[in-house]
Order: sequence, then structure tokens, then C-alpha cells
Amino acid sequence: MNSPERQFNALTSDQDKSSNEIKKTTEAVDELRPIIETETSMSYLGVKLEKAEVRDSQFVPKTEQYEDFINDKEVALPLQRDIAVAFLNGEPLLIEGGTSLGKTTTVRKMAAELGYEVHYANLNGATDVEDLMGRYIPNPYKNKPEDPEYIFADGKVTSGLRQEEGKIKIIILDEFNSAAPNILIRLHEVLDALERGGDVILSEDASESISVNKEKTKIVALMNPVGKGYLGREPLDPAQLRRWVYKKMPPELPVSTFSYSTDSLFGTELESQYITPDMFLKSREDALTLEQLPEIPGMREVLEKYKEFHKAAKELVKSRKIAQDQSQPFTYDDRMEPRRVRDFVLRFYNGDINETFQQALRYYYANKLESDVDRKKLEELIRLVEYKPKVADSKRRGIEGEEKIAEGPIGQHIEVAIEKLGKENVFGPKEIEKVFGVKIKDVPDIPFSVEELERAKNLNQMLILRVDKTAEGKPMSIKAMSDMLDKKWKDEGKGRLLFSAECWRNLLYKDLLTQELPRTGWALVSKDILPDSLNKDYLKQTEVIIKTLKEEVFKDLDIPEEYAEAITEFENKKAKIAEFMDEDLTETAQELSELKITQLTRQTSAEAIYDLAVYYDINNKKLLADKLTWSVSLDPYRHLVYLGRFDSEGLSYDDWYPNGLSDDIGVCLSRRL
Amino acid sequence: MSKTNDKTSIEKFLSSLAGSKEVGLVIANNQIEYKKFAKILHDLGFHKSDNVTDILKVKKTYFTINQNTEKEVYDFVVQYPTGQIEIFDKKIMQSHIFSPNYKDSAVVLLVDQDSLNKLQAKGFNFLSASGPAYRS
Repeated sequence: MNSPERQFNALTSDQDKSSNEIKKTTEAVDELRPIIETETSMSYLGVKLEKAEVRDSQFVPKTEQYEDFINDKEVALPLQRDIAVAFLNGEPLLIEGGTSLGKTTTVRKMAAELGYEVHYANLNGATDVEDLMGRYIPNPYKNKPEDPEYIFADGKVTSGLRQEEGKIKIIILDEFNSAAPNILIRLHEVLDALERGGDVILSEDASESISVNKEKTKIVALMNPVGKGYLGREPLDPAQLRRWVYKKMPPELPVSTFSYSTDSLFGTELESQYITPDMFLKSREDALTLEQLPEIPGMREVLEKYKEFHKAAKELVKSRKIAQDQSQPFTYDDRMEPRRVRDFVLRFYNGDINETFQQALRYYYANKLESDVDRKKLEELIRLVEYKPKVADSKRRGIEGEEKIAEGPIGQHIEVAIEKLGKENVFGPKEIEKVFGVKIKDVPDIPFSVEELERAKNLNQMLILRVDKTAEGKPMSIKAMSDMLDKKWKDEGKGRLLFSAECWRNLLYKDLLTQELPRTGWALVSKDILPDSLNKDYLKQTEVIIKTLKEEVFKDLDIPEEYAEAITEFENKKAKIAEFMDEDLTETAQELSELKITQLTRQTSAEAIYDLAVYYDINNKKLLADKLTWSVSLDPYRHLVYLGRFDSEGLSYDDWYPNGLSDDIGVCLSRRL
Repeated sequence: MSKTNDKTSIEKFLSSLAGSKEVGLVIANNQIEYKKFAKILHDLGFHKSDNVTDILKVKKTYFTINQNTEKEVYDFVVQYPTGQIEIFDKKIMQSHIFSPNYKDSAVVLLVDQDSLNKLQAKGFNFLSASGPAYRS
């Protein structure tokens, strides 16, 4: 997602900018292409690698071997991108993952495209360092008495290390965690030499040293997970891992990748893979210099937050709050990770320090984690590594006796939101406490950028923090809200929350009132019905939502992946839903309710009530006084619930089939991440 | 990795291997079966290779393995699906590079159960590294 720091182009010349504009059309098309080949380069999700000048070698794999290689978006493409980053930065890469992921094949396929030599060594069962580093053998070329009896012959690794004009070589160390300890020690000496850019002393030769260069030799180690059916693998010492950029992959293909790959193999019609812009990294044509780093706006602030992040991430690993189930222990190294992050920023800074830094942290920190749950935990920390440009000094700030909005960075973020949306449209922990008496200990960060908040203002939206528990820790159900606020409002003469006529009984009897809860987190919610959504059936309303997202909310911004996927899902299913809508109304209602786009952009009935109640309680004004919003909720009869007409009698509810339409039923856009 | 373990005949199994991008594995329960399978392989036109570097010289080939089999056979099996095979000859310290031509080719490993167990225990996971497998 674009963030406001895009405006800082201190390191982009005017000439570059105009050149960028000229290229805009081509780039727009290229953005859809995950792999781009030119005569001299290959680009893997935006990471550009130069091809070798000399490609004519038996060690270079043949491209025709990979004609049926499947570039799926979950495994193969991100893997190629990450390998490309390691190659570009000259970092040794250690990939752990199951055999079915095609790790070796992927490296060889890239080598074929790039014209790089592959020098392969499988370390399983290998005990002899000399096989890798070289040894003296009887001279096969001896035909004169003066010829030496023995000559030194390179091993597999040595041949990969030797520099040859125009050639680039990859050393693959397969089944790395099956290697004998003496081999690991020797290989780590090689890695240290590569990192230093020095020489590898061939102790096996006792005389020669090989000058090594990480620009010319790339090292990729591959290993299967310890345990999980892989015999003979021992976890590596975490101290040894520090030399590697360690990438943890799943033990087997994710279900969706398996399905996509299988469909590809059988040539059946494929659902389009939506390659989202956030999958791309754009490498710079020229890396920044160290002197340019301090010139990046926000660098100092981001750096301070990065230090906190590193410490927190280390603690999470140490306390086994993440990576608990991973058999290969690791740590985040105090010296290596910051250096790698710095080199990444030098190579990939794109004018947005937040985006670049966060991508680096995903690459060097999150990539070491296997489970999505762990990655999400770390992602929460990554998002905090952020520079926020100073907004105009708040009038509220610094006033004596003023209550603090919240502790720490989140307090600052809320202040920025208030600056952008106005105090009357931001309902954070302080307001929620006032309305429901709930004290929120861990306030989640606001997942929206300053730019999005600015747009929200134009879209007449409010920002609200939803919680799913009452002050007593009970579920924040519709009934709980109603009981709580009816009592409170009675004292204040503000009326009731729910219209207590027949219409609510249906819900009450069917338990929806007591079971449906708001989904926790921040949401941007329209304070009124989207104007074009009135007098439209549920399907057409969804089209209005998507139009609003594309043309207003995300205009000229990268659409977040979950939204992009949700839109694609809707586009794929829309025609079929329309066709069968009249045939089976309840089935269609259920299908519409379960659509990702519905879940992301419509309120549940509990959320609509929560949002309207909070706004009214704080501002003493009622929203949706004469309109109704169609929610995501289904009642027990699988009818879609709509609610509103929040007048002096309270909120009304009813339900309908999805093909219904009325001039007072529309939809409020409610956006979560 | 798909494993075939039904009661189809070995002949059917072997005929299904043509064009496979993985090495097939035929597991004999005992030495009698081992010899029987070797004969069937021979009768069906599979050429027995004694050296890893010979495996790709003919379209249909098989290689027998036992607990003393050289590591290079394992290296071959692991690399076969990757589009390129590098076999390193330790005696002359030279690499031999092969590009498998999968079309109509079939490579089979023949092993008895006891040897397979011992190889697996040594860390050479042929069951995982190979593709389709047959056992009577």
C-alpha cells in the first residue's frame, strides 16, 4: 500500500521522474507480469538480475528443461523473488522446506534463465571435505618425466568459487543439515571469506588461495525439515544459521498451490492467479550509497523503531511465542540482521522508507517463520516500524489536564486520525470506555495510512475501534449492548437503542441477539448510505461497493491483497450468482454473505448497532435516521438482515431476500483490514 | 510424492513410467522376487546400468541398489527431476553433467526391502526422493 512517504523523492532526480512518467504505461502492463525477461536481464517479481555475459557452459542448465515449470503465486514466484534478492545482495541463502516444493528445480530453472553455472553438492552422506574443496590426484596428463606426479584438482565447491571472466556461478549445497560437522565448519570458512570479499585459503592444497567474490558466486543451501519424516537430519546450531539468510518454507505444498499446479499439469482451465502489487519488490537500477542513507526522510525515526522491533522479535523467538513448532532453532542476529536490512534498503529503497524497511523485515525476519499465525504476530510488530510525517501541531496536544488518548505510538496515530477526520469522527479507546465502560489494555494499531484517512474524510467516514467484550468480559452481543445502553440512556433521557416492537423478537428467539459480536479492530465506516446503493438488490449493491473501492478508496493506490482477492472472487462468481438468484434465494443469500468482499466491506448487524450506538452516545446525533443498511448477517431463515431508521423509537430491523430492493435500503461501506 | 501400492502388475507399473520426471522405485520383498523383477525389467526392454553415468544413455534403464550402493546413485535420484544432474567422480575429481530427456524415458531403481531399510536408516531416503513405487 502506498503510504504518505511516497511524496519524499529526495533521492529521485527530476530527470528520473519524467523518465518514470514516460515509462508509466509500460510499467502498468509489466506490473501484471511476474517474470520479465530481456536480452540482458531477468526480473522476478520486480527484482532484476543481470544475465551472465558468458553462458555457454555445460554447468548452465538448459532452459528447455523448464518449459512446463509452474509459476504459482504462493510458492514458486515468491521463492524466485527471494532467491533473486539474495543473489542481488550477495547473501548466502538457506532454504528449508519439504521435497515437494521443488527448491533445487527452482534454483536450476533460474540459473537456466540467467545463464549462471550450477555447481551442485549433496551433503547427505558426504564425509570428505576434500570432495568439496579439492585434493591432490595422480596427474592424468603426465606424459613427460618432468610433469608432476600429482596435481591439485578442484572440488565441487572450489570450482564454484573460482572466478572466470563473464561467468556467474551458483553453488547449491543440498541436504545441508545432513552434512558432517567438519564439512559445515569448512563451508562456514568459505562463507566468511565471501562475506569479507577476501580469499579462501585452500588448506587442502597448502599453497593456494582463491580470491572469491560474492558478485560472481552465489551460494544456496537447501534442507528438508528436521523430523517430519526426514531421517538423518539434525537441527543446525542457531549460531551457524547466523551466516545465512534463512528462509523457512512449508513442509509441503499449500492446498491452493497443489490445486493450481495440478490443474496446470492437466491443462484444465485455470482460475486466474491474481498477482497483487504487494508481491513485487522493485530493485533500484543503482544501489544507494551509504552517504545517501541519512538523507532519506524519516530514516532516524524508522531506525529507532527498528531497534525496538529487533529486540521484541528476538524476545518472541526466545520465549517461544513464535516458531514454537519449528524444529530448527534460530535467532535474530544482532550484527547480521541490521547489516542485511541496511543492504536491502540500499538496493530497494523506492522513495517510501516505511514500505522499504517493512519489506526488509518481512524478508529477513518473517521469512524465518513457517506458520501464518506466527507471521501475523510478527507483522503486527513490523507495521510499527514506521515513520509518520509530522502533522500540524494538534490544538489538543499539550493542554494541561487533557486526558491522554492512549499510551505510546498508538496514541500518536490516533492523534493523526483526529487531525484528519475530526474529533467527532474518531472513536478510540477513550470513547469506547466512555460508551461501554470497557478499558482496552492492548490497543491495536490503526491499519490505515494517513492518505487513507484523508480519503475517509472525503468519503464521510468515521474511524471506530470495535471490541467484542464488555467491561465484565462478557460477549458484546446486541443484547448486551442494548441492556447496557438502555439503562445508561434512560438516565440521560436519550431513549432506547433498539425499537422494541415485534421485529426484534425474531432475532431474540433465534439467538442472533446473544451470539453475534462485533469483529475486533479498527474500521472505517460510512456515516451514511453510499448514494448509489439505494434501490438496488444485494448483488448490485456489492458492485457499488467495489466501484467505490476502485474509484475512490484505492484510486492510484495499491489495492491491498485481501481486497484484490475479494474483488477477483466476486468478479468470478457474479454472473453465476445473478443467474441463480431467483431460483434459490436462501442459497444465494448465504453465498453472497460468505463472499470475501461482503465480509470485508459490510457490517454485521452487531457491528452496525455498535457503530451507530457509539456515534450517538458520543455526539448525541443519530445516523441513519431514515435509511437502512444491508448487513452481512443472515437470520436463522437465511435471510439477509438490514437495519437502521434510528429514530426516537430506536433501531429497526428486518430481513429480506437478496433480490429485494427499496428506495430506503442501501449499504454503508465498512472497511476493515 | 505419489506412491503406487495397489495390486496392479509390475508390467503395468513399468509401462506407466515412460515420460515420468521422477525415478521409479521397484521394491522386492525378498531375493527371489528381486530376481523375478530383474528378469521382467530385462524382458520389457529395460537396460541394466552398472554405472550412474550410463543411466541416461538409453531410454529405458534400471539400476540395482543395495546397502553398499555408492552415494552418487542417491545424488542421481535426487537431481533427476530438477532438469540437470551433476555427478562428481571423486577419482578424477571431475563433474559429469547430464540433462535428462524425460520424453519417453524411464529410469527405475530395483531394490530389496532389506537393503532399502538399511539405506533409509543411513539417511538416503530413496522413498522420498523417488517418484512412483511398486511393491507386489
